[in-house]
Amino acid sequence: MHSRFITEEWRGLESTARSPLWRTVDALIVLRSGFARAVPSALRRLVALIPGLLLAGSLVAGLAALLWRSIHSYDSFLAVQGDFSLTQYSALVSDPQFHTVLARSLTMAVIAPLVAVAIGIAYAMTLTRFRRRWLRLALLIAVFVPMLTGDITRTFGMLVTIGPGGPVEWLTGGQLHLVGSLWGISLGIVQILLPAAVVVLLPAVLRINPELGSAAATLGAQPITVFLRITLPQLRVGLVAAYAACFALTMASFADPAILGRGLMNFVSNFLQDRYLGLGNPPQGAAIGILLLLIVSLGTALILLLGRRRR
Amino acid sequence: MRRVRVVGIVTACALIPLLTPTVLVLVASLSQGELLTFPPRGLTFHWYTEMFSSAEVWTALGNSLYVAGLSVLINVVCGVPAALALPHVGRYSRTLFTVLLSLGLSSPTIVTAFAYFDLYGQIGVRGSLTAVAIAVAVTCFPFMLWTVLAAVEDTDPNLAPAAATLGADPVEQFLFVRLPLLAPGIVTGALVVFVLSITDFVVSQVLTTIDNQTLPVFVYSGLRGAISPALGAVSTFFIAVVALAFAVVLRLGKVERFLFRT
Repeated sequence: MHSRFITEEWRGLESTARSPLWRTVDALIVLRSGFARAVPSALRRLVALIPGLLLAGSLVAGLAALLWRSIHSYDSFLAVQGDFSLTQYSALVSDPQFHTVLARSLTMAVIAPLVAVAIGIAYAMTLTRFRRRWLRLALLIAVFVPMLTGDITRTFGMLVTIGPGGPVEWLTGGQLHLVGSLWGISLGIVQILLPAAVVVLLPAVLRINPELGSAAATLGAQPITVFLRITLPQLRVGLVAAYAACFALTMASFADPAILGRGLMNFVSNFLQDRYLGLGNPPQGAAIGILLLLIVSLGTALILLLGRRRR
Repeated sequence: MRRVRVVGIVTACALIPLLTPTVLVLVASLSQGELLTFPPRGLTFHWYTEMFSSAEVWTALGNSLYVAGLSVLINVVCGVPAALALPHVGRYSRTLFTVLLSLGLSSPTIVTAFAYFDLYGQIGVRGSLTAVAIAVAVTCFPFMLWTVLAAVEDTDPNLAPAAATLGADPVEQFLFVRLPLLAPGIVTGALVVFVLSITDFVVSQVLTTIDNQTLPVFVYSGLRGAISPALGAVSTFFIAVVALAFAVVLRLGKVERFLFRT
Protein backbone atom coordinates (compact mmCIF):
# COMPACT_ATOMS: atom_id res chain seq x y z
CA MET A 1 0.00 0.00 0.00
CA HIS A 2 1.49 3.29 -1.08
CA SER A 3 0.04 5.36 1.76
CA ARG A 4 2.24 3.71 4.38
CA PHE A 5 5.40 4.97 2.70
CA ILE A 6 3.99 8.44 2.39
CA THR A 7 3.44 8.44 6.15
CA GLU A 8 7.08 7.44 6.60
CA GLU A 9 8.08 10.50 4.53
CA TRP A 10 6.05 12.84 6.70
CA ARG A 11 7.35 11.39 9.92
CA GLY A 12 10.73 13.00 9.37
CA LEU A 13 9.22 16.44 10.05
CA GLU A 14 9.75 18.02 13.47
CA SER A 15 6.61 18.27 15.62
CA THR A 16 6.20 21.76 17.04
CA ALA A 17 2.80 21.22 18.66
CA ARG A 18 2.12 23.12 21.88
CA SER A 19 -1.49 22.36 22.85
CA PRO A 20 -2.14 19.38 25.17
CA LEU A 21 -4.43 17.74 22.57
CA TRP A 22 -1.66 17.56 20.00
CA ARG A 23 0.86 16.51 22.63
CA THR A 24 -1.43 13.54 23.41
CA VAL A 25 -1.76 12.73 19.74
CA ASP A 26 2.03 12.82 19.35
CA ALA A 27 2.43 10.55 22.36
CA LEU A 28 -0.12 8.13 20.88
CA ILE A 29 1.75 8.13 17.57
CA VAL A 30 5.02 7.26 19.31
CA LEU A 31 3.25 4.54 21.31
CA ARG A 32 1.65 3.05 18.21
CA SER A 33 4.77 3.03 16.08
CA GLY A 34 6.71 1.41 18.91
CA PHE A 35 3.96 -1.19 19.22
CA ALA A 36 3.91 -1.72 15.44
CA ARG A 37 7.65 -2.33 15.40
CA ALA A 38 7.46 -4.84 18.25
CA VAL A 39 4.47 -6.88 17.09
CA PRO A 40 4.14 -8.51 13.64
CA SER A 41 1.22 -7.19 11.58
CA ALA A 42 -0.72 -10.47 11.54
CA LEU A 43 -0.84 -10.45 15.34
CA ARG A 44 -1.69 -6.73 15.48
CA ARG A 45 -5.11 -7.37 13.92
CA LEU A 46 -5.84 -10.02 16.52
CA VAL A 47 -5.04 -7.61 19.35
CA ALA A 48 -8.12 -5.57 18.46
CA LEU A 49 -10.26 -8.69 18.61
CA ILE A 50 -9.02 -9.70 22.07
CA PRO A 51 -11.57 -7.77 24.20
CA GLY A 52 -14.46 -9.17 22.16
CA LEU A 53 -13.05 -12.67 22.26
CA LEU A 54 -12.55 -12.42 26.02
CA LEU A 55 -16.22 -11.48 26.38
CA ALA A 56 -17.33 -14.36 24.15
CA GLY A 57 -14.83 -16.60 25.94
CA SER A 58 -16.55 -16.01 29.26
CA LEU A 59 -19.74 -17.45 27.75
CA VAL A 60 -17.81 -20.42 26.36
CA ALA A 61 -16.37 -20.98 29.84
CA GLY A 62 -19.87 -20.78 31.30
CA LEU A 63 -21.21 -23.29 28.78
CA ALA A 64 -18.29 -25.57 29.58
CA ALA A 65 -19.13 -25.31 33.30
CA LEU A 66 -22.74 -26.17 32.44
CA LEU A 67 -21.65 -29.17 30.36
CA TRP A 68 -19.33 -30.34 33.14
CA ARG A 69 -22.11 -30.13 35.70
CA SER A 70 -24.54 -31.98 33.44
CA ILE A 71 -22.38 -35.13 33.32
CA HIS A 72 -22.55 -35.74 37.06
CA SER A 73 -25.05 -37.65 39.13
CA TYR A 74 -26.83 -35.78 41.92
CA ASP A 75 -28.35 -36.73 45.21
CA SER A 76 -31.25 -34.30 45.62
CA PHE A 77 -31.89 -35.51 49.19
CA LEU A 78 -28.40 -34.72 50.48
CA ALA A 79 -27.92 -32.01 47.81
CA VAL A 80 -24.46 -33.22 46.85
CA GLN A 81 -23.02 -33.70 43.40
CA GLY A 82 -21.97 -37.30 42.81
CA ASP A 83 -19.69 -39.08 40.37
CA PHE A 84 -19.25 -38.73 36.68
CA SER A 85 -22.19 -40.35 34.87
CA LEU A 86 -24.72 -39.83 32.12
CA THR A 87 -27.72 -40.46 34.39
CA GLN A 88 -29.06 -36.93 33.89
CA TYR A 89 -29.43 -37.46 30.16
CA SER A 90 -30.86 -40.98 30.44
CA ALA A 91 -33.30 -39.75 33.11
CA LEU A 92 -34.45 -36.96 30.79
CA VAL A 93 -34.90 -39.29 27.82
CA SER A 94 -37.28 -41.46 29.84
CA ASP A 95 -39.03 -38.56 31.62
CA PRO A 96 -42.65 -38.27 30.33
CA GLN A 97 -42.87 -34.69 31.68
CA PHE A 98 -39.89 -33.69 29.57
CA HIS A 99 -41.49 -35.35 26.54
CA THR A 100 -44.65 -33.25 26.96
CA VAL A 101 -42.68 -30.03 27.38
CA LEU A 102 -40.37 -30.77 24.46
CA ALA A 103 -43.27 -31.73 22.17
CA ARG A 104 -45.10 -28.53 23.11
CA SER A 105 -42.04 -26.35 22.43
CA LEU A 106 -41.21 -28.07 19.16
CA THR A 107 -44.78 -27.83 17.86
CA MET A 108 -44.84 -24.13 18.70
CA ALA A 109 -41.37 -23.65 17.17
CA VAL A 110 -42.56 -25.18 13.90
CA ILE A 111 -45.94 -23.41 13.63
CA ALA A 112 -45.34 -19.93 15.11
CA PRO A 113 -42.49 -19.09 12.67
CA LEU A 114 -44.79 -20.00 9.74
CA VAL A 115 -47.33 -17.42 10.92
CA ALA A 116 -44.64 -14.85 11.69
CA VAL A 117 -42.90 -15.28 8.33
CA ALA A 118 -46.23 -15.09 6.44
CA ILE A 119 -47.14 -11.82 8.17
CA GLY A 120 -43.51 -10.70 7.86
CA ILE A 121 -43.59 -10.99 4.04
CA ALA A 122 -46.70 -8.83 3.82
CA TYR A 123 -45.25 -6.36 6.32
CA ALA A 124 -41.89 -6.06 4.59
CA MET A 125 -43.54 -5.63 1.18
CA THR A 126 -45.81 -2.85 2.46
CA LEU A 127 -42.81 -1.26 4.15
CA THR A 128 -40.79 -1.10 0.95
CA ARG A 129 -43.73 0.11 -1.17
CA PHE A 130 -44.27 3.30 0.82
CA ARG A 131 -42.74 6.32 -0.81
CA ARG A 132 -43.01 8.64 2.17
CA ARG A 133 -40.22 8.36 4.71
CA TRP A 134 -42.34 8.96 7.80
CA LEU A 135 -44.79 6.20 6.85
CA ARG A 136 -41.96 3.73 6.43
CA LEU A 137 -40.46 4.81 9.73
CA ALA A 138 -43.82 4.56 11.50
CA LEU A 139 -44.26 0.97 10.32
CA LEU A 140 -40.69 0.15 11.26
CA ILE A 141 -41.11 1.59 14.75
CA ALA A 142 -44.43 -0.21 15.20
CA VAL A 143 -42.86 -3.59 14.55
CA PHE A 144 -39.93 -2.92 16.88
CA VAL A 145 -41.82 -1.40 19.81
CA PRO A 146 -42.92 -4.72 21.38
CA MET A 147 -39.44 -6.20 21.09
CA LEU A 148 -37.56 -3.19 22.43
CA THR A 149 -39.85 -2.36 25.34
CA GLY A 150 -38.70 -5.67 26.77
CA ASP A 151 -40.29 -8.90 27.88
CA ILE A 152 -41.89 -7.42 30.96
CA THR A 153 -43.62 -4.41 29.45
CA ARG A 154 -44.69 -6.47 26.46
CA THR A 155 -46.17 -9.36 28.42
CA PHE A 156 -47.72 -6.96 30.91
CA GLY A 157 -49.44 -5.23 27.99
CA MET A 158 -50.60 -8.59 26.67
CA LEU A 159 -51.94 -9.53 30.10
CA VAL A 160 -53.90 -6.29 30.22
CA THR A 161 -55.22 -6.91 26.70
CA ILE A 162 -56.24 -10.55 26.93
CA GLY A 163 -56.44 -10.99 30.69
CA PRO A 164 -59.45 -10.88 33.02
CA GLY A 165 -61.35 -7.61 32.60
CA GLY A 166 -59.38 -6.75 29.45
CA PRO A 167 -60.76 -5.52 26.12
CA VAL A 168 -60.68 -8.96 24.47
CA GLU A 169 -62.91 -10.45 27.16
CA TRP A 170 -65.06 -7.32 27.07
CA LEU A 171 -65.52 -7.58 23.29
CA THR A 172 -66.33 -11.29 23.36
CA GLY A 173 -68.63 -11.00 26.36
CA GLY A 174 -66.34 -12.86 28.76
CA GLN A 175 -66.25 -15.99 26.60
CA LEU A 176 -62.63 -15.95 25.49
CA HIS A 177 -60.03 -16.74 28.17
CA LEU A 178 -56.60 -16.61 26.55
CA VAL A 179 -54.36 -16.26 29.60
CA GLY A 180 -52.93 -19.62 30.64
CA SER A 181 -53.64 -21.19 27.24
CA LEU A 182 -51.38 -21.95 24.30
CA TRP A 183 -53.24 -19.37 22.21
CA GLY A 184 -52.26 -16.59 24.57
CA ILE A 185 -48.64 -17.73 24.58
CA SER A 186 -48.54 -17.99 20.79
CA LEU A 187 -49.87 -14.43 20.47
CA GLY A 188 -47.01 -13.20 22.62
CA ILE A 189 -44.44 -15.29 20.75
CA VAL A 190 -45.54 -14.13 17.29
CA GLN A 191 -45.21 -10.58 18.59
CA ILE A 192 -41.45 -10.98 19.19
CA LEU A 193 -40.93 -13.12 16.10
CA LEU A 194 -42.29 -10.42 13.77
CA PRO A 195 -39.46 -7.88 14.11
CA ALA A 196 -36.90 -10.65 13.59
CA ALA A 197 -38.76 -11.95 10.52
CA VAL A 198 -39.15 -8.43 9.06
CA VAL A 199 -35.47 -7.51 9.57
CA VAL A 200 -34.24 -10.73 7.96
CA LEU A 201 -36.73 -10.50 5.07
CA LEU A 202 -36.18 -6.80 4.27
CA PRO A 203 -32.97 -7.17 2.21
CA ALA A 204 -34.57 -10.03 0.25
CA VAL A 205 -37.74 -8.01 -0.41
CA LEU A 206 -35.66 -5.03 -1.53
CA ARG A 207 -33.87 -7.26 -4.02
CA ILE A 208 -37.12 -8.40 -5.72
CA ASN A 209 -37.07 -7.43 -9.37
CA PRO A 210 -40.44 -5.73 -10.05
CA GLU A 211 -40.05 -6.17 -13.80
CA LEU A 212 -40.28 -9.95 -13.52
CA GLY A 213 -43.73 -9.64 -11.92
CA SER A 214 -44.90 -7.17 -14.55
CA ALA A 215 -43.58 -9.45 -17.30
CA ALA A 216 -45.53 -12.39 -15.89
CA ALA A 217 -48.66 -10.25 -15.63
CA THR A 218 -48.24 -9.17 -19.27
CA LEU A 219 -48.10 -12.82 -20.23
CA GLY A 220 -51.49 -13.28 -18.53
CA ALA A 221 -50.61 -14.57 -15.04
CA GLN A 222 -53.10 -13.97 -12.26
CA PRO A 223 -51.79 -11.86 -9.30
CA ILE A 224 -51.83 -14.97 -7.09
CA THR A 225 -49.77 -16.92 -9.65
CA VAL A 226 -47.30 -14.04 -9.91
CA PHE A 227 -46.92 -14.03 -6.14
CA LEU A 228 -46.51 -17.80 -5.79
CA ARG A 229 -44.31 -18.47 -8.82
CA ILE A 230 -42.35 -15.26 -9.31
CA THR A 231 -42.17 -13.32 -6.05
CA LEU A 232 -41.84 -16.15 -3.51
CA PRO A 233 -38.97 -17.98 -5.29
CA GLN A 234 -37.01 -14.72 -5.32
CA LEU A 235 -37.48 -14.49 -1.55
CA ARG A 236 -36.31 -18.06 -0.95
CA VAL A 237 -33.00 -17.36 0.83
CA GLY A 238 -34.59 -14.70 3.04
CA LEU A 239 -37.54 -16.94 3.84
CA VAL A 240 -35.32 -19.80 4.97
CA ALA A 241 -33.12 -17.52 7.08
CA ALA A 242 -36.15 -15.84 8.67
CA TYR A 243 -37.73 -19.21 9.45
CA ALA A 244 -34.50 -20.47 11.03
CA ALA A 245 -34.12 -17.35 13.18
CA CYS A 246 -37.76 -17.56 14.31
CA PHE A 247 -37.37 -21.26 15.12
CA ALA A 248 -34.40 -20.52 17.39
CA LEU A 249 -36.25 -17.64 19.08
CA THR A 250 -39.36 -19.73 19.74
CA MET A 251 -37.40 -22.65 21.17
CA ALA A 252 -35.69 -20.24 23.53
CA SER A 253 -38.86 -18.37 24.60
CA PHE A 254 -39.12 -17.99 28.34
CA ALA A 255 -41.11 -14.92 29.36
CA ASP A 256 -44.25 -15.66 27.32
CA PRO A 257 -44.88 -19.15 28.75
CA ALA A 258 -43.92 -17.96 32.25
CA ILE A 259 -46.19 -14.91 32.32
CA LEU A 260 -48.89 -15.40 29.68
CA GLY A 261 -49.05 -19.13 30.41
CA ARG A 262 -49.31 -18.44 34.15
CA GLY A 263 -46.80 -21.26 34.67
CA LEU A 264 -49.32 -23.82 33.43
CA MET A 265 -47.77 -24.31 30.00
CA ASN A 266 -44.05 -24.84 30.50
CA PHE A 267 -41.66 -24.64 27.60
CA VAL A 268 -38.15 -26.12 27.65
CA SER A 269 -36.69 -22.89 29.08
CA ASN A 270 -39.17 -22.81 31.98
CA PHE A 271 -38.68 -26.52 32.56
CA LEU A 272 -34.93 -25.91 32.83
CA GLN A 273 -35.40 -23.23 35.48
CA ASP A 274 -37.89 -25.40 37.39
CA ARG A 275 -35.49 -28.31 37.52
CA TYR A 276 -32.43 -26.20 38.32
CA LEU A 277 -33.86 -23.87 40.95
CA GLY A 278 -37.35 -25.11 41.81
CA LEU A 279 -36.66 -28.79 42.29
CA GLY A 280 -33.07 -28.12 43.24
CA ASN A 281 -31.39 -30.51 40.83
CA PRO A 282 -28.72 -28.36 39.12
CA PRO A 283 -27.08 -31.15 37.06
CA GLN A 284 -30.45 -32.09 35.56
CA GLY A 285 -31.13 -28.44 34.74
CA ALA A 286 -27.67 -28.22 33.16
CA ALA A 287 -28.42 -31.30 31.06
CA ILE A 288 -31.65 -29.70 29.82
CA GLY A 289 -29.66 -26.57 28.94
CA ILE A 290 -27.12 -28.53 26.92
CA LEU A 291 -29.92 -30.42 25.14
CA LEU A 292 -31.73 -27.16 24.37
CA LEU A 293 -28.54 -25.66 22.95
CA LEU A 294 -28.05 -28.76 20.79
CA ILE A 295 -31.66 -28.77 19.56
CA VAL A 296 -31.54 -25.08 18.65
CA SER A 297 -28.20 -25.27 16.83
CA LEU A 298 -28.96 -28.51 15.01
CA GLY A 299 -32.51 -27.40 14.15
CA THR A 300 -31.29 -24.08 12.75
CA ALA A 301 -28.52 -25.79 10.78
CA LEU A 302 -31.00 -28.34 9.41
CA ILE A 303 -33.45 -25.65 8.28
CA LEU A 304 -30.68 -23.69 6.55
CA LEU A 305 -29.37 -26.86 4.91
CA LEU A 306 -32.77 -28.05 3.67
CA GLY A 307 -33.52 -24.58 2.37
CA ARG A 308 -30.31 -24.50 0.40
CA ARG A 309 -30.39 -27.94 -1.14
CA ARG A 310 -33.59 -27.67 -3.14
CA ARG A 311 -32.57 -24.50 -4.89
CA MET B 1 -52.70 -3.89 -8.03
CA ARG B 2 -54.89 -6.31 -6.08
CA ARG B 3 -51.89 -7.97 -4.42
CA VAL B 4 -50.84 -4.66 -2.93
CA ARG B 5 -54.20 -4.39 -1.24
CA VAL B 6 -54.06 -7.89 0.29
CA VAL B 7 -50.58 -7.20 1.58
CA GLY B 8 -51.73 -3.88 3.02
CA ILE B 9 -54.68 -5.46 4.82
CA VAL B 10 -52.45 -8.11 6.43
CA THR B 11 -50.09 -5.37 7.60
CA ALA B 12 -52.91 -3.31 9.05
CA CYS B 13 -54.25 -6.37 10.88
CA ALA B 14 -50.77 -7.13 12.22
CA LEU B 15 -50.50 -3.61 13.60
CA ILE B 16 -53.43 -4.10 15.98
CA PRO B 17 -51.89 -6.86 18.15
CA LEU B 18 -48.49 -5.18 17.82
CA LEU B 19 -49.56 -1.84 19.22
CA THR B 20 -52.65 -2.42 21.38
CA PRO B 21 -50.76 -3.90 24.36
CA THR B 22 -48.33 -0.98 24.51
CA VAL B 23 -51.14 1.57 24.27
CA LEU B 24 -53.10 -0.30 26.93
CA VAL B 25 -50.14 -0.18 29.31
CA LEU B 26 -50.34 3.60 29.10
CA VAL B 27 -54.14 3.52 29.56
CA ALA B 28 -53.84 1.09 32.46
CA SER B 29 -51.32 3.22 34.29
CA LEU B 30 -53.81 6.12 34.30
CA SER B 31 -56.93 4.23 35.36
CA GLN B 32 -58.57 4.27 38.75
CA GLY B 33 -59.42 1.21 40.84
CA GLU B 34 -57.29 -1.47 42.47
CA LEU B 35 -57.78 -3.94 39.63
CA LEU B 36 -57.63 -3.34 35.93
CA THR B 37 -60.94 -3.35 34.13
CA PHE B 38 -61.99 -2.50 30.65
CA PRO B 39 -63.29 0.01 29.68
CA PRO B 40 -61.16 2.04 32.11
CA ARG B 41 -62.81 4.14 34.79
CA GLY B 42 -61.60 7.61 35.55
CA LEU B 43 -58.21 9.27 35.19
CA THR B 44 -55.59 9.42 37.90
CA PHE B 45 -51.87 9.99 38.34
CA HIS B 46 -52.09 8.23 41.68
CA TRP B 47 -50.11 5.18 40.51
CA TYR B 48 -47.21 7.28 39.31
CA THR B 49 -46.88 9.11 42.59
CA GLU B 50 -47.21 5.84 44.46
CA MET B 51 -44.63 3.98 42.37
CA PHE B 52 -42.09 6.74 42.26
CA SER B 53 -42.30 7.54 45.94
CA SER B 54 -41.45 3.95 46.83
CA ALA B 55 -37.85 3.35 47.82
CA GLU B 56 -37.88 -0.17 46.37
CA VAL B 57 -38.61 1.14 42.88
CA TRP B 58 -35.78 3.63 43.11
CA THR B 59 -33.30 0.98 44.27
CA ALA B 60 -34.38 -1.35 41.45
CA LEU B 61 -34.11 1.52 38.97
CA GLY B 62 -30.61 2.33 40.22
CA ASN B 63 -29.59 -1.32 39.82
CA SER B 64 -31.03 -1.41 36.31
CA LEU B 65 -29.21 1.76 35.30
CA TYR B 66 -25.94 0.41 36.69
CA VAL B 67 -26.31 -2.86 34.76
CA ALA B 68 -27.31 -1.10 31.54
CA GLY B 69 -24.54 1.52 31.82
CA LEU B 70 -21.85 -1.05 32.45
CA SER B 71 -23.19 -3.26 29.66
CA VAL B 72 -22.97 -0.34 27.20
CA LEU B 73 -19.42 0.40 28.35
CA ILE B 74 -18.33 -3.23 27.92
CA ASN B 75 -19.97 -3.41 24.51
CA VAL B 76 -18.31 -0.22 23.25
CA VAL B 77 -14.88 -1.26 24.54
CA CYS B 78 -15.14 -4.79 23.10
CA GLY B 79 -17.35 -4.20 20.08
CA VAL B 80 -15.75 -1.22 18.32
CA PRO B 81 -12.20 -2.66 18.02
CA ALA B 82 -13.64 -6.05 17.03
CA ALA B 83 -15.80 -4.51 14.29
CA LEU B 84 -12.81 -2.51 13.01
CA ALA B 85 -10.55 -5.57 12.89
CA LEU B 86 -13.04 -8.16 11.64
CA PRO B 87 -13.09 -7.12 7.94
CA HIS B 88 -9.29 -7.45 7.79
CA VAL B 89 -8.78 -11.00 9.06
CA GLY B 90 -8.67 -13.98 6.71
CA ARG B 91 -11.79 -15.59 5.32
CA TYR B 92 -11.87 -18.73 7.45
CA SER B 93 -10.81 -17.09 10.67
CA ARG B 94 -13.43 -14.39 10.02
CA THR B 95 -16.18 -17.04 9.90
CA LEU B 96 -14.82 -18.57 13.10
CA PHE B 97 -14.67 -15.21 14.88
CA THR B 98 -18.14 -14.20 13.69
CA VAL B 99 -19.64 -17.45 15.00
CA LEU B 100 -17.79 -17.05 18.29
CA LEU B 101 -18.72 -13.39 18.71
CA SER B 102 -22.42 -13.95 17.94
CA LEU B 103 -22.63 -16.84 20.38
CA GLY B 104 -24.45 -14.58 22.85
CA LEU B 105 -27.41 -14.38 20.48
CA SER B 106 -27.36 -17.91 19.06
CA SER B 107 -27.31 -19.58 22.45
CA PRO B 108 -30.82 -19.56 24.00
CA THR B 109 -31.03 -16.78 26.61
CA ILE B 110 -31.95 -19.07 29.47
CA VAL B 111 -28.99 -21.34 28.68
CA THR B 112 -26.68 -18.32 28.70
CA ALA B 113 -28.19 -17.26 32.02
CA PHE B 114 -27.60 -20.63 33.65
CA ALA B 115 -24.16 -20.97 32.08
CA TYR B 116 -23.16 -17.78 33.90
CA PHE B 117 -25.03 -18.93 37.03
CA ASP B 118 -22.82 -22.02 37.09
CA LEU B 119 -19.65 -20.15 36.25
CA TYR B 120 -20.27 -17.44 38.87
CA GLY B 121 -21.11 -20.09 41.44
CA GLN B 122 -17.74 -21.72 40.88
CA ILE B 123 -15.68 -18.55 41.04
CA GLY B 124 -17.82 -17.16 43.85
CA VAL B 125 -19.16 -13.91 42.39
CA ARG B 126 -22.82 -14.93 42.28
CA GLY B 127 -25.14 -12.08 43.24
CA SER B 128 -22.81 -9.25 42.19
CA LEU B 129 -24.37 -6.65 39.89
CA THR B 130 -21.17 -6.30 37.88
CA ALA B 131 -21.33 -10.02 37.12
CA VAL B 132 -24.94 -9.58 35.98
CA ALA B 133 -23.85 -6.72 33.71
CA ILE B 134 -21.22 -8.92 32.02
CA ALA B 135 -23.79 -11.64 31.29
CA VAL B 136 -26.26 -9.07 29.95
CA ALA B 137 -23.50 -7.49 27.84
CA VAL B 138 -22.75 -10.84 26.20
CA THR B 139 -26.38 -11.31 25.12
CA CYS B 140 -26.40 -7.82 23.55
CA PHE B 141 -22.92 -8.01 22.00
CA PRO B 142 -23.99 -9.19 18.49
CA PHE B 143 -26.26 -6.14 18.09
CA MET B 144 -23.37 -3.79 18.84
CA LEU B 145 -21.06 -5.71 16.52
CA TRP B 146 -23.48 -5.69 13.58
CA THR B 147 -24.35 -2.02 13.91
CA VAL B 148 -20.71 -0.93 14.00
CA LEU B 149 -19.78 -3.41 11.25
CA ALA B 150 -22.49 -1.90 9.03
CA ALA B 151 -21.05 1.56 9.75
CA VAL B 152 -17.53 0.32 8.90
CA GLU B 153 -18.73 -1.13 5.60
CA ASP B 154 -20.59 2.11 4.92
CA THR B 155 -17.47 4.33 5.08
CA ASP B 156 -15.54 5.15 1.93
CA PRO B 157 -12.39 2.97 1.90
CA ASN B 158 -10.48 5.69 0.02
CA LEU B 159 -10.70 8.19 2.87
CA ALA B 160 -7.95 6.67 5.03
CA PRO B 161 -5.37 6.52 2.18
CA ALA B 162 -6.35 10.09 1.25
CA ALA B 163 -5.67 11.23 4.80
CA ALA B 164 -2.36 9.37 4.74
CA THR B 165 -1.37 11.18 1.54
CA LEU B 166 -1.99 14.44 3.39
CA GLY B 167 0.36 13.32 6.11
CA ALA B 168 -1.88 11.78 8.74
CA ASP B 169 -0.30 9.13 10.91
CA PRO B 170 -2.47 5.98 11.42
CA VAL B 171 -3.37 7.34 14.86
CA GLU B 172 -4.54 10.63 13.35
CA GLN B 173 -6.37 8.79 10.57
CA PHE B 174 -8.29 6.85 13.18
CA LEU B 175 -8.99 9.76 15.52
CA PHE B 176 -9.88 12.45 13.00
CA VAL B 177 -11.18 10.56 9.96
CA ARG B 178 -12.55 7.12 10.78
CA LEU B 179 -13.90 7.68 14.29
CA PRO B 180 -16.08 10.72 13.41
CA LEU B 181 -17.51 8.77 10.47
CA LEU B 182 -18.22 5.77 12.68
CA ALA B 183 -19.66 7.81 15.55
CA PRO B 184 -23.35 7.62 14.46
CA GLY B 185 -23.06 3.85 14.11
CA ILE B 186 -21.42 3.53 17.51
CA VAL B 187 -24.06 5.71 19.16
CA THR B 188 -26.86 3.73 17.50
CA GLY B 189 -25.31 0.47 18.69
CA ALA B 190 -24.81 1.84 22.20
CA LEU B 191 -28.46 2.96 22.39
CA VAL B 192 -29.75 -0.40 21.18
CA VAL B 193 -27.57 -2.13 23.76
CA PHE B 194 -28.74 0.27 26.48
CA VAL B 195 -32.41 -0.37 25.69
CA LEU B 196 -31.92 -4.14 25.50
CA SER B 197 -29.91 -4.18 28.75
CA ILE B 198 -32.23 -2.00 30.81
CA THR B 199 -35.25 -4.08 29.79
CA ASP B 200 -33.47 -7.41 30.11
CA PHE B 201 -35.50 -9.92 32.09
CA VAL B 202 -34.48 -13.51 31.44
CA VAL B 203 -30.80 -13.20 32.37
CA SER B 204 -31.42 -10.85 35.31
CA GLN B 205 -34.11 -12.96 36.93
CA VAL B 206 -31.69 -15.88 37.12
CA LEU B 207 -28.62 -13.96 38.22
CA THR B 208 -29.98 -11.30 40.58
CA THR B 209 -30.95 -12.05 44.15
CA ILE B 210 -33.79 -10.57 46.19
CA ASP B 211 -31.38 -7.88 47.42
CA ASN B 212 -30.26 -6.53 44.07
CA GLN B 213 -33.28 -6.91 41.81
CA THR B 214 -33.34 -4.94 38.61
CA LEU B 215 -36.52 -3.11 37.61
CA PRO B 216 -37.90 -5.77 35.20
CA VAL B 217 -37.42 -8.49 37.84
CA PHE B 218 -39.13 -6.26 40.40
CA VAL B 219 -42.12 -5.83 38.09
CA TYR B 220 -42.20 -9.57 37.41
CA SER B 221 -42.63 -10.40 41.08
CA GLY B 222 -45.70 -8.13 41.00
CA LEU B 223 -47.08 -9.72 37.81
CA ARG B 224 -47.62 -13.09 39.42
CA GLY B 225 -50.39 -11.87 41.69
CA ALA B 226 -53.42 -9.79 40.74
CA ILE B 227 -52.49 -7.29 38.03
CA SER B 228 -52.29 -3.84 39.58
CA PRO B 229 -52.23 -0.65 37.49
CA ALA B 230 -49.18 0.38 39.50
CA LEU B 231 -47.07 -1.94 37.36
CA GLY B 232 -48.30 -0.03 34.34
CA ALA B 233 -46.68 3.09 35.74
CA VAL B 234 -43.29 1.35 35.87
CA SER B 235 -43.77 -0.17 32.42
CA THR B 236 -44.51 3.32 31.11
CA PHE B 237 -40.98 4.21 32.16
CA PHE B 238 -39.59 1.56 29.79
CA ILE B 239 -41.80 2.83 26.98
CA ALA B 240 -40.44 6.33 27.61
CA VAL B 241 -36.84 5.05 27.48
CA VAL B 242 -37.51 3.30 24.18
CA ALA B 243 -39.25 6.36 22.72
CA LEU B 244 -36.29 8.54 23.68
CA ALA B 245 -33.82 6.09 22.14
CA PHE B 246 -35.90 6.00 18.94
CA ALA B 247 -35.88 9.79 18.78
CA VAL B 248 -32.07 9.94 19.01
CA VAL B 249 -31.49 7.07 16.58
CA LEU B 250 -33.86 8.55 14.00
CA ARG B 251 -32.06 11.88 14.17
CA LEU B 252 -28.82 10.05 13.42
CA GLY B 253 -30.53 8.44 10.42
CA LYS B 254 -28.35 5.34 10.50
CA VAL B 255 -31.05 2.74 11.14
CA GLU B 256 -32.64 3.18 7.73
CA ARG B 257 -29.34 2.89 5.93
CA PHE B 258 -28.64 -0.26 7.89
CA LEU B 259 -32.05 -1.87 7.36
CA PHE B 260 -32.75 -0.80 3.81
CA ARG B 261 -29.40 -1.68 2.33
CA THR B 262 -29.52 -4.31 -0.39
